[in-house]
Amino acid sequence: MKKGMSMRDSAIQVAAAVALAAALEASAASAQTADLSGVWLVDNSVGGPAGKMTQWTRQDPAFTPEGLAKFNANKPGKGPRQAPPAFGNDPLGDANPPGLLRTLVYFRPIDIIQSPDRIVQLFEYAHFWRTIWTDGRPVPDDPGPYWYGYSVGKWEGDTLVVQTVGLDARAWLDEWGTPFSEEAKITERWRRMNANTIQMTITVDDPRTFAKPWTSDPRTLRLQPKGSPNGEVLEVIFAPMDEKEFNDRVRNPAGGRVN
Amino acid sequence: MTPFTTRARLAALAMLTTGMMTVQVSGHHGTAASYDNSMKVTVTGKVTEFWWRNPHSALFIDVTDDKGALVNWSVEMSSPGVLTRAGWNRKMFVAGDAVSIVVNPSRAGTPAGVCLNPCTVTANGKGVSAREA
Repeated sequence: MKKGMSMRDSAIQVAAAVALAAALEASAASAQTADLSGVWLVDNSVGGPAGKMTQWTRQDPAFTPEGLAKFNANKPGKGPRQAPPAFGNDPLGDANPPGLLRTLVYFRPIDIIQSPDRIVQLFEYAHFWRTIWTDGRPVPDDPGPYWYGYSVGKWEGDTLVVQTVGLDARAWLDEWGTPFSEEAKITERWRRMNANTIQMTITVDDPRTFAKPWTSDPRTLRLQPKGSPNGEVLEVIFAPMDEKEFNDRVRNPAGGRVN
Repeated sequence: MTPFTTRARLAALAMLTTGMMTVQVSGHHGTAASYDNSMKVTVTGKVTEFWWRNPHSALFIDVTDDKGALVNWSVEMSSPGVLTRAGWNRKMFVAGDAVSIVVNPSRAGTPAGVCLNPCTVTANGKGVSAREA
């Protein structure tokens, strides 16, 4: 009897230990996968060459007539349609904010800070930030416009799914002058692939600008360890007074434009 | 002055180096469109100013042309963030430094060039790495 009890106790102990281990493992996996904390940098070596319209995808999305007119009116200093910025109309050329989507496609570190009710992304590029609310609030009806939009996120397993609306359409969607409208609804998917890698995509639903919704190629972000060159975000502010002097004395003369 | 004669003067101003490997030039807005990355020119002269600022740092150099006149060149460089990560700092150059720098010249033929990271500069006879603080 005593022996039987002992065996039963052992069985219970083993079962409890197995359950505890499983719970700990699940907890650790969850802590690792549902967590975007850290300083991240887009790996530009992954993904290959982009398409002709936007840096976000190699498959050129179809514009509406309104979208095409805006695309043709934008004169970028980079990409397949690049012109000397002295004769372009890049809003960044006068130190305006790049805005959310252009920041996400650019190659500069992003510091992601996660708390229970929100995720904050600190962007080195132009020294801005944005909040992704994860407290269960709904996506507001008609916010903004905001240069960095209004973002609400929820976890689907290891993927943070973010709805972003209210984007100020004076910004560009990328460095190449691709436009969007204030009706754009962006779905971002940030998937923690493993300890060192995030894969992210955006889906652009903007019926004023594009004939149908389209999804970007996946972009890979790599974790930047502390102490490495990109392990912390630096201050990169485009001050209007510096930008003006740069235009007057460097950018415009280099492009052959007499001030 | 027509662009052609301006360009010819600049060619005389600066020692043209040919046959060098071209490097990918990319800047945050429009650097490649303004400069000819298939061409390399060595600019030699005295530093007048060094800007350690966004959007791009810049080095200004007085170059003596073939008629003895001083022409001030602008050399666009990477942003302080990129240069900090490459070990540079704001004290890299001071006015009066004798420098020599290989740049991609302006397509417009103006006295302007670009040298993005990694950028090699000789200052007072030493590579810039010797001046890192």
